[in-house]
Order: sequence, then structure tokens, then C-alpha cells
Amino acid sequence: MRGKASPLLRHGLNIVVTLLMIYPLLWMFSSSFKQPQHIFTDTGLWSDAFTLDNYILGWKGLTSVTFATFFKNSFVVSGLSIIGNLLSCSMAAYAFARLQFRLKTLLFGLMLLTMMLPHHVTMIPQYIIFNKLEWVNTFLPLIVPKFTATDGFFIFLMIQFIRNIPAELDQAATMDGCGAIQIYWRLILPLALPALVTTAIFTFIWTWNDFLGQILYLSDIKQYTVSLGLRTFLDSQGDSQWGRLFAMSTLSLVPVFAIFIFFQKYLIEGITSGGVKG
Amino acid sequence: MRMSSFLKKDGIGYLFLSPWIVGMLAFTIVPVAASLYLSFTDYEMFDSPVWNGTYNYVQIFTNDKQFWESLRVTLTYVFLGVPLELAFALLIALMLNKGLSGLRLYRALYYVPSLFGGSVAVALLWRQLFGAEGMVNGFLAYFGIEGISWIATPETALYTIIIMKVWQFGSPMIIFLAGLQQIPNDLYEAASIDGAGKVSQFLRVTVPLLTPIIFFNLIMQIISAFQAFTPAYIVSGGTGGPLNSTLFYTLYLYQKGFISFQMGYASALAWILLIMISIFTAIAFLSSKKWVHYEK
Amino acid sequence: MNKLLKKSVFIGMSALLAASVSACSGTTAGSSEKAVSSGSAQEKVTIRFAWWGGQARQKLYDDMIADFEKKHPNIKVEQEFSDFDPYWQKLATQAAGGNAPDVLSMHLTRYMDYANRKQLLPLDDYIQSKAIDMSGFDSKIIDIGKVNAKTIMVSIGNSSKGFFFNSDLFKKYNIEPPKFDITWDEFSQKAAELKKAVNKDGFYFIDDQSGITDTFGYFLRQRGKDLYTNDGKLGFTKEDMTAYQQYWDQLRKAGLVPPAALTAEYKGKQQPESMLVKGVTASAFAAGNQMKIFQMYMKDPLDIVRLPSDPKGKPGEDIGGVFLSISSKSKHPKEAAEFINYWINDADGGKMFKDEMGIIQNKRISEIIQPLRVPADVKVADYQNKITPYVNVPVTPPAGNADISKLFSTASEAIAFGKKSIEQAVNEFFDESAKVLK
Repeated sequence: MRGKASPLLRHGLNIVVTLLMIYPLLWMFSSSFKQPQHIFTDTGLWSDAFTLDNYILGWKGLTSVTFATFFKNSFVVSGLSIIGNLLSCSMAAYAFARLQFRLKTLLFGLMLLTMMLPHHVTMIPQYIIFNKLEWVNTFLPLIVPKFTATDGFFIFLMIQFIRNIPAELDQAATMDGCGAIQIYWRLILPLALPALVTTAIFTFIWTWNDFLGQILYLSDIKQYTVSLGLRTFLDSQGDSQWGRLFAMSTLSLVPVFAIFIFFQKYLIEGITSGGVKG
Repeated sequence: MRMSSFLKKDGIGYLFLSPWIVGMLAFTIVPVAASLYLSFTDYEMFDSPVWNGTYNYVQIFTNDKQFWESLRVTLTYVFLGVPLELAFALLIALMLNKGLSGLRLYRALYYVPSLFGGSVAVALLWRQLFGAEGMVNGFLAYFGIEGISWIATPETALYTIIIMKVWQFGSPMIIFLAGLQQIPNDLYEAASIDGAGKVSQFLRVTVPLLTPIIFFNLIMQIISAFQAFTPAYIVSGGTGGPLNSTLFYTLYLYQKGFISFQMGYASALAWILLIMISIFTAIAFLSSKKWVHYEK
Repeated sequence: MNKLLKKSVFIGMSALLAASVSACSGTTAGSSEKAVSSGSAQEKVTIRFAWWGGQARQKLYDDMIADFEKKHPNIKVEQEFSDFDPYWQKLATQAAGGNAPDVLSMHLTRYMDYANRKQLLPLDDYIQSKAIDMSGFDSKIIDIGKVNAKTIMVSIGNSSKGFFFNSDLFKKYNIEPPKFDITWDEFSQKAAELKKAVNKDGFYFIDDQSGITDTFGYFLRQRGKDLYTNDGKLGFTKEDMTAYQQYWDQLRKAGLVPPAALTAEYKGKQQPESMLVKGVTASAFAAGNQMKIFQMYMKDPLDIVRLPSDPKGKPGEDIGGVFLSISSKSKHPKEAAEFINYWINDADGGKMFKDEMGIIQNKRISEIIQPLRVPADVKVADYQNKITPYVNVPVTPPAGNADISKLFSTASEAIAFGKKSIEQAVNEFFDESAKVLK
């Protein structure tokens, strides 16, 4: 892996591979500046009839509600989801990874099992529950479950990271007089930082891009998120507005990238093994 | 007496688990149990479910060609797609982990395909790439090879979707990177002091400590690959065609539930899938005792 | 302690389970309407209106609803919309959860699933009392909205299929364009003629119709049959299906219709990427309201004539389009009816709406908006007037029709890809269909 391959070769390879990776992004980006009627006819990446209309008109969104509102709503939903997942999933992961209690294996198995059922068959009963709670047409069905550790993916992820933290550190902390709660807060969480960062990134991206959950529970356009706003440019039975779709999709990627790059630096800093700090 | 020992032993565990328990009871258990119940009924969405015992299950196994077709499609997707994607993800993660300038940028760029997920843009693009007049055929033309419509020929359509899956390796890659970051640097230093070369360090330090993460990615990729839906939906226009060659299991389930309004039957399909996934997951868990190392 | 905990959890869960399952029958009142009894005319009633579409339509509907609310100050309308595919998934979930909107948009390919399961309110009383005034409608148009002799939906636009073709192409090669009453034989002759003149690889006359149940329905009605019978069985024989598949198979073999892979590749593509717009085909069978959309992306003018017919047979035309219904569980059917009445009868609304969902069928309003129509719609409206005498009311498809359509298109794919002979595919289709429609 490391070693003799010259940096130039590696860079060259990287560039080719990354071009393959990002070609759709380039295509979408370039299409966002083309006149709508040229998007499908003009297959090149560059167009002479360059226009900013797609961005200006696209931003206007729906009649009274612009993408400013959509972005705000998406940030609220995704932001709260991150907090919810970080808190509740880490707590559950700590319990499964470090604590002993009856039925632990059973409950862990149950958690895994619930991830194996396709959401299409639980959609209707869940809708009924949220309807009875009168949470339909609010953000609640999208956010509250995040505070109750319903994303087993992240629980399992954190469990694996926590299990890699040597148990001796826990024991040392216990001897120092720390209880389980303090060990969780001061030892495990900091050492599981890469898992937390990964959770934050993925939670943001997945909730940002979530369409089905949002279309089902949000009907008022003032509550629309970016994902729903983007879909309004598509009318499969009528005329879709491709230019604006691509323009706003490009913009929609900006926060995603920003979050990604911002949190990445926590992924880069490695953890040097050390004792418990304080 | 029993109360306080309960609190001491199990209490803390349940305390930390309490948000999860609330979530389970409020949002998860009932829908899951409901879907199990519905799988034994004839439920056409709007009328009350009518109990019909194991009828759905018997029908599925004895009288349903599309069930077997979708099973074949999905198993192919899982057993080809998951190893390929994980291999790529690991490879690129290792490459990106150390030593290359512009690392952050590359990392972000490699993740870009995953961001597109099941979007319209990807469907459009994939048709542009793998269609009869697509870029892949244009490339092959340079070598004098006349390509077919990869995306619309029953024999090849599924493979274009598998390629899409491998192309979107960003998520497991990020997780591998996180796992690689968790390996303390002094372990590498200690090993090199011991005289171990790069390859030896890789085998003795990196791989063992990465196994919990490899295991995680394996399990999660299996679980999600079995339930793959969106790529097939958007590339085939929701049909699973041509000739059911892209009829993923959950796409078939969706068609039965939401297009044909046979939710009971769809629920039975869902539970069969769950059992299948859990068998494979159990195998993986059992094997993990042999090759996954935790802690030092 | 544990036993008590377990027991109360079990009871709690059973209660929730029982509640959610009983709700599956839609008898609960989990509505999010700010409902007020409609007894008092002064108090505001809120109704929910669901439709599919995108941005452009949303602006139009906003304006129309504002106008409606001005004229009916005691009614407030909340809109719910999404694109066509998610619309149906959301509606099914809402309806199963007992929370369907009051006014629903219905489509000719989906309404039967709701009508057959009693989700749509019969409107005959309202029509009789002119609360929903349908006096401007041809009786056939009203009949299209009937299931089991009850009217459950009202047409807000007809998009009957037509045979569109690129008229410039015919001019260019000096070929007589298809005439209004073209027959199937003349159709294949015309196709061969044009293909010979154009003489280009990758050019076809029309896209492959062998898997399209709509067109097959036309074919069957021309033979005096239909896709289904009134008692929910298939309305055609193996001979009918074989004849239909043979016709298109011959066109495929003669290169007049695209090969299987090309057809599969274009599935799911939208108008700007369609074969017609890209010049891969010279013509299409498509819904009337698609004409102006195709025209937006094409320089060459399109003309529209009838689908090919059988000179010895009956006319096969049906009505397409979009309809409005009232949910059978709506708490405000009277207000919902007022809303529908506005939509189809109000002149101001009509001037805004024009032919958004297909040519509108209220003759009175149609006359009012004639001067406002875009050229493509003028052609289509004219076309629809001409075919009105030929229109049939198709038999309402039974439950299981979605499965049948899928079996039909898969059978035609198998033939097109050369995987099965026509005889084999037809036999298998009938075997599988018998299982579905038992």
C-alpha cells in the first residue's frame, strides 16, 4: 500500500478515479447553468448559453415559500436529529457494550431484528401511531424517534468502537472513584469520538436526503424541507423543471459538504492511547 | 434487598438503555408486531384484516414465480455487491489514511457518489452511461467493440446496479477511516521499534484492530443490501424490469403492498426476508468469534 | 417487580396493538382537520385537498383556491401535494390510517383500487341536487366516473389517447400523413413507407405497444370486448392476445418498432428524453394533455388523429384523465362538494385552470376558455370533440388489475427479447392471470 509507488503516479490514479466518482456532480453542476431545453440535448459539460436563471428562479421555490425556508426547516430537522442520535444511541451503545443487565443479549438481538424488516410494512402502523398522537403535519415524527435511539445502525456502530476501548481504562477509572455515568461521560465518549463524528455526519446526510418520511408527515409547504422542495420541480405527468432542480440540488449539497469537511478534522486526529484524563 | 441489588446491577444498564426502551415500546414494537400479525391475514389496506393463517406463506413458496425471481436477483446483488463494495471501501480507506496530500479533498470526493443515493440525477446519469448510446459503449467503440444496452438487457441490467452500489462505497469507507483513526499511533511505533516492516505492521496492528469495524460494515452491508430498493426503483422506473431482472425483493414487496394492495401478502414477504437476513447475520456473528478481536 | 413490569408492558403493548390494528379498518378519528360542525354557516370549516404535480401547478392552484375561498368565506382549503408516484403511496398510507384528505385527485389507472374498496363517496345525491352541477357534461363523461352504478368521481380533464405524429417528417419525404380514421393495416403500411423513405438506422415509426394494456384495451373494444368483464374476469381470449402480440411482433421484426432493449431503456424517461422528442420515432400513442409538453421540446409540429381502428369493428376509444373524488370518510362532504362544484363550474376558476389536467369536459366552460387555449390544446380539444361519438365507458378493472398489467407487460417483454414464443407467453399469461383473478 505505502512504499515505492511514486507520488505522481498515485496522484494521477487518484485524479482519474475521483473524476469517475464525481462525474455526476460535474454533469449536474454544469446542467444547472444551462437553459432547460438544452440540458438533455447538449451532452457536453460546457454550454454557450450560460444562465443563472435556474438559480434565481429555483430559489424562489413555491409561491410564498422560498428555499430559504426549506433550508431552515432541513437544518432544524437534521440538527435536532444529530443531537438526538448522539445522545440516545451512545447511551444505548454504552449499556450494551459496557454494562451488565438481564436480557442484554436478547435485547441486542431484538435491536438487530428490527433493522431487518423492510420499512414498507411498518409504514402504515407507524403512521397510525403518529396520527393518534396527533403528530402528523409536524416535525415530531421525524425528530422524536431520534431521541429514542431508533437508528440501530448507530448503536451498533458505537458498540464496536466502544468495545475497542481497553477495559483496563474503565477499571482504572472505577478505582479512581468514578461511577458508570462518569465513565460514560468522561472516558468512553471522548475515546469513541470517531464513532460520534461518523454518527453526526451520517445522521445529517441521511435526514437531509430523506424523502419518504418527510413527504408522508409534512403537508404544509411552510414546513417543507429541501428534499421535498427539490421534488416539486419534478412532475412526472407534466412538465418538470430540470434546470431549477439541478441548480437547487447543487446548492443543497453545499451544507452537506460543509458538515462533512467540518467534522472530518475530528476524524483525522487520531487518538493516542493514554490514560484517563482527570 | 432485591430492589437495591437490582438497582445496583441492572438498574444502571436499564437507565442508559431507557431512551431506547421508550423508542422500542412507542414506535417500533407495535408496528413490528402488527406486521407479523398482518402477514397471517388478507389485508387490503382499507378493510379490516381477515385472518387466513399460513395461506400467504404457502402461496409464496408454492405458487409465486416472482418471489423466486426476486430472491435470485437479491441474492446475486448481496453476494456480489457487498464483498466488492467492502473491498473497495477498505482499499481506498487504507490509501487515504496516511501520506497523501490533499487528503481531505480526496476523502470528500470519494464520498460524493454516496450523496446522490437514490436521486433522479443518478438514474439519469446511469442511463446515460450504460444505455445503448451511452458513454461506456462510446468508450468500447474505440476498441472496435459494439456494446449493447447494458442497462436494458435482462442479462446485464442487474450488474449495472451492482456497479452503482460499488461506486457508492463512500459510507463504509468513512467508517473504515474512522476505525483506522482509532488505532493508536504508538502501537505502530512500538511495532516498528520491534523491527516490523510496513507490511508486517499492517498485518499485526492494522488488521486485527480493524476487525470489529470490518465486522460492523459486513453486517450492516448485508442487512441493507438485502433491503435495497431505491436503485432498482429509479433505474427500472419502478417495474423491476426488463423481464424482472432488476426485481429486487423489497421492490417486489412494495409492488405487492402498495400497487396491488395486498399488504398481508407483503408483510409475509417481509418476515421471510427478516428470517433470511437473520440467518446470514447469525452465521456472521458465529464466525466472528474466530476472526474478530476486541481491545488490545 | 419484574413480573409486574413485564405484565404491565404486555398489557400496554396489546392495547396499542389492538388499537393500531382496529385502526386499519379506518374507523378511527385521527384526523388533523380543525373540524367544526358544518351546521353553523358562520363557523369556518377546513377541508384538505390532495393532488399531484409540481411547482408550476402549485402556483395555479394557490390562485384558484384563493378565488374559491373568497367566494366561500366559510371554507378554508389546505393543500397536500407531491409528485405522481409518492402521491399514491402517501394516499394509501393516509387512507389505511384513517386520515385520508377530503377531496382526492383520482386517475383512470388507479381509481379502481379505491372505488372497489369503498374509499370514495358516492356523489349521485349531490349531482341530482345540482350541488355538483354536471349539466354541462356529456353523459358518457359522467358515466366514466361510475362504479357499480354510483358516481364516485368527476372529470376535471380528459386526456384521451391520440395518435401523435411529426407532421413535418411526412411533408419532408412527401408521404401522405395518417388520416383521421386510419386502420391497423394502413398503419403498418404507412410505417413501412416512412421507414423506407427515411432509411436510417435507429429510426422507428412508433414505440412498441405490445406491453401496454391501454392500447390493448383499444384493440379489444374494437372487437366488442374489453380487458375485463363485469364480474372481474379477463374479457379476452388467447386468440385476442395472440393476434395483438403477433401484430406488434411483425412490426418489430420489420424494424418499424424498436427492439426490446431499446424499449426497456426508455422506460421511465420523461418527455424531453422520449423517443418522439429525440427523433427516434416519428409518432406515439399518448394522452392528449401530453401534446403541449412534447411540443415544448420539439420544433416540428405534431398532429393528432385517432388510434388505428378496425374497419369492420367497433370504435375503441375511452376517456383518460384526472378526476376529483370525495373520501368516503370525509367529515365535510358538503363543503368538499362545494369545492368540486367550483372547480368544474366556476368561470373565473376555469379561466385560470384551462386544460391543466386535460381538455375540460364542461362544454360551457370549454367554450369560455377556447380563446385562451394554446395551439396544441386547440388541436387536442378539436380532436376530442371529434371522437366523442366513439367513446366507450370501459369496464372498471377489478382488484388484482395491477398484477395483471404487470403479467401482461412481462409476457410481451419475454416475446420481444425472444425468450418465449408468442404461444408460450400467452399460455403462461393466462395461467398466471387465473391465479390472480380467482
